[in-house]
Amino acid sequence: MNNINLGKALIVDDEKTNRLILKSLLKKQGYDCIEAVNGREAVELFHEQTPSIIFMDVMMPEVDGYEAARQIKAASGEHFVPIIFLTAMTDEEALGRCIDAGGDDVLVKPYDSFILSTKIRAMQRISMLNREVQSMYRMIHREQEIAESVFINAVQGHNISNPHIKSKIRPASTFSGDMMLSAYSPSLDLFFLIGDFTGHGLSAALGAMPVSEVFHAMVSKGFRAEDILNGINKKLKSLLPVGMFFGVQLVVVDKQLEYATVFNAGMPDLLVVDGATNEVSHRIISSGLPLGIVADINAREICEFVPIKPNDKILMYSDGLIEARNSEDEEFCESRLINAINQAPSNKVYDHIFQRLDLFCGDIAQVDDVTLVELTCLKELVLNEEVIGPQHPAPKTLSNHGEWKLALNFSGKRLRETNPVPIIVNHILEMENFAEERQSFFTVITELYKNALDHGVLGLESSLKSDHSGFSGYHKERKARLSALETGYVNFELAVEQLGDRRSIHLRIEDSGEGFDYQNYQPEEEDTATLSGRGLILVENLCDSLSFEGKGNIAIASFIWVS
Amino acid sequence: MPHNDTTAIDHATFNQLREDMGDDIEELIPIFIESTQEILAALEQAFSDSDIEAFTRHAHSLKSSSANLGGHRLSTQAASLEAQANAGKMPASSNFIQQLKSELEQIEAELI
Repeated sequence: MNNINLGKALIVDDEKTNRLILKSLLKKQGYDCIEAVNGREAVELFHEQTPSIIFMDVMMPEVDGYEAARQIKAASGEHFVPIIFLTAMTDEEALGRCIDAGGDDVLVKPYDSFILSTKIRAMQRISMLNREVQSMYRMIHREQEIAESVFINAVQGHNISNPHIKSKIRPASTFSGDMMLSAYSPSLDLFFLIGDFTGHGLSAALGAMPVSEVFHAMVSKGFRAEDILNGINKKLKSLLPVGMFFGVQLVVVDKQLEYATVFNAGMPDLLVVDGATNEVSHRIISSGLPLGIVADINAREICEFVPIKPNDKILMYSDGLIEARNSEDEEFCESRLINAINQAPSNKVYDHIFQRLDLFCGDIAQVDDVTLVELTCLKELVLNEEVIGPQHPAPKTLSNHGEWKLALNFSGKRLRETNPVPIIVNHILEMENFAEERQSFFTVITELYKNALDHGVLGLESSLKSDHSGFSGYHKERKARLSALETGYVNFELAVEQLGDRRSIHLRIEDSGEGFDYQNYQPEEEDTATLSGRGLILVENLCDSLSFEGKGNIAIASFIWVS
Repeated sequence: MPHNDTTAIDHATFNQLREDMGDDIEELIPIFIESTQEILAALEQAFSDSDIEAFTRHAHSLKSSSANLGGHRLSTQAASLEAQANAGKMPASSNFIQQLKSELEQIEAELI
C-alpha cells in the first residue's frame, strides 16, 4: 500500500455501508476522507475543503450526483478536480449520463481495490497534464498581456485624443496585431494610420514598436506621407521574417479640410461617407503591397487625393470587422457594413456600426482583432488643443509661412528628465544644412531654454547668483526645484524659410512662468549685473532679432544664416 | 460475477472485500446490518404510503449496499423491485418485505 498523502478525497453517498467501504479503501491508498450524504452537502464540502478527488454516487436525496457534479465542475473552472461516479454494474445507460454531467470516470460496485488504485493513478496523470497545460496557458496569457501592454503604453500611448476621432481596436481572444497611430505634423495636418500585422500575440506586438517609432519621428519632423510609408517599409523589410507583413491604411487630413491624402496597401477598402446623407462618396481600394515584403515601394504611386466636405466621415477598418462571424459561421461582410452606415442616425455612424456588429456576432468569440476608426472632418479635427498647448488661452502661433515648422511641447513633469535642446537641434540638423552656425544656434536655443526653465517654470531669481553662496547655491536650488517639478510647461515652435539667399529660423519659446518686465528692459552692455541671469545679451548678439511677448514668458527670436 | 446461489453471501466477493479492507471489515458488518434494517423499514413505510419515488430510492440503496458486501441474492431482489418501481409498479402484497428480512437474517448468520 501507499504511504504518500494524496490529499483529501470527498466521498458522496447516502448509503453508510458504501461510504465506509470506500473510505477504508481510499485510506489505504493514502487519502484523508471527508464524507457527504447528498449532492448539496457535497457542493458545500467542495468549497470548504477543496478535495483533490471526488467519488460521487448518482442517486441521492435532495441534490443528485449529476447535478452536484455539474455545479462542482462549473465552480472548479480551470482547476482539474476529478469526479469519479459510483454506480452498480446494471446501471449501464447511466454511464453516458455520468460522463455528460462532467464525470471523469466511473467506478462500478462492488468496489475492487485494484481497479480503484488503477483509476486513481490514471486521474493523477490527467491532473498532472492538466497542471502543465494550465501553466503553459498562463505563460502564453502573460505574453499576451505583455504584448497588449506594449501596445497600449509604448505604441498607442502617444496617440491623439480628439472628440472628432472615434477609434477602437477590439482585441480578439488572442491578441492579433492590429494597431493604430495618430499624430499632428508640424504644419498641423492630421496623420492617422491603421495597420494589421500577420501573426499573433507577442510577435505582432514587437513589429508594432518600430512602426510606431518611425511614424512618430517622421511625422513630427514634417516628412510627407509617402516618405513615412517608405520609411516604415524599409524598417519592416529589414526586421520582419519572411511571411510576416503589415497591411496599412494612412490618411492625412490637411488642416484646411479640403482634401485627404489616402494610402491603402493590403487593407480592406477605406470609405469616405457623406456627412449629410450617410452615403459612401468615395471608396479607396488597396492599390499596393503590404509593407515589409519588398525592399522599395513607391508609396507616391498608390497615393490618392480625396476631396472632403465639412462633416464627412473617413472610415478606416481592418479585415477583422468585415470577417467577424456569427453563430451560423457567416461573415459580417461589407454589405452589412454599408447597410449599417446608410441606416445610421445622423452623426452616429461609428456607434451604429458597432451596434450592428454586436447584434450580428452575439456571444461568438472573434479570432481576429476588430479595428474601426471614424474621422469627422470638422475644423476641430485639425486645430486641436493638444497641438497648441494645454490649459491656457490659445496664444499666437508663428505665422504659417515658411517651408517647414516644428512644434514641441514639454510638460514640467517631462522636463525633469528630458532636455529638449538636443532633440530640437537634431531635428534641425536633419532638415537643414548648417555647419558653421550650428554652435551659435545651439547657444541661442540653450540660453533661451535655460531662461524659460530657470526663471519661468522653476521661478528662480537671478539675484540668487549674486548671493554669498553664488552659483553653487543657485544650482543646488535649481536641482531641488527641478526634481520636484509637477506642473508647468515649455513649448517650442520653430519655422524655417528661405529669405533671398539666406535661411531663417523663427523661434518661439513659451513657458508657464510669470515672465518679466521686458518693456523696461534696456539692452546695454554695461547692464550685465542685472541681465546676466537671463543670458540675453549673448542671444541678442547671435540672433537677428529677439523680442518678448505676453507677460514676458514668450521669447521670439530669428536666427539667420547663409545656406 | 460468478457466485453460488445456495448461499446468501457470495464469498469470493466478500473475501476480496475483507482483503481490501483489512481490519476495517469488523466495523463494517454491524453497520451494514443496522443500516440495511433501516432501509427495510423505510422501504416498508414507502410501500404502505404508496410513495413510489421513495420506494425506488430505498430499493436502489439496498441493491447497491448489499452488492458491495457480496449479498448477491438480496441485491438481485432489490434490483428487481427497483426495476418494477421504475416502470411504475409496486409489489402486489407486502410479502416481499418478509422475503427481504429473511434474506438479511441469512446474511447475518453467514457473516458471523
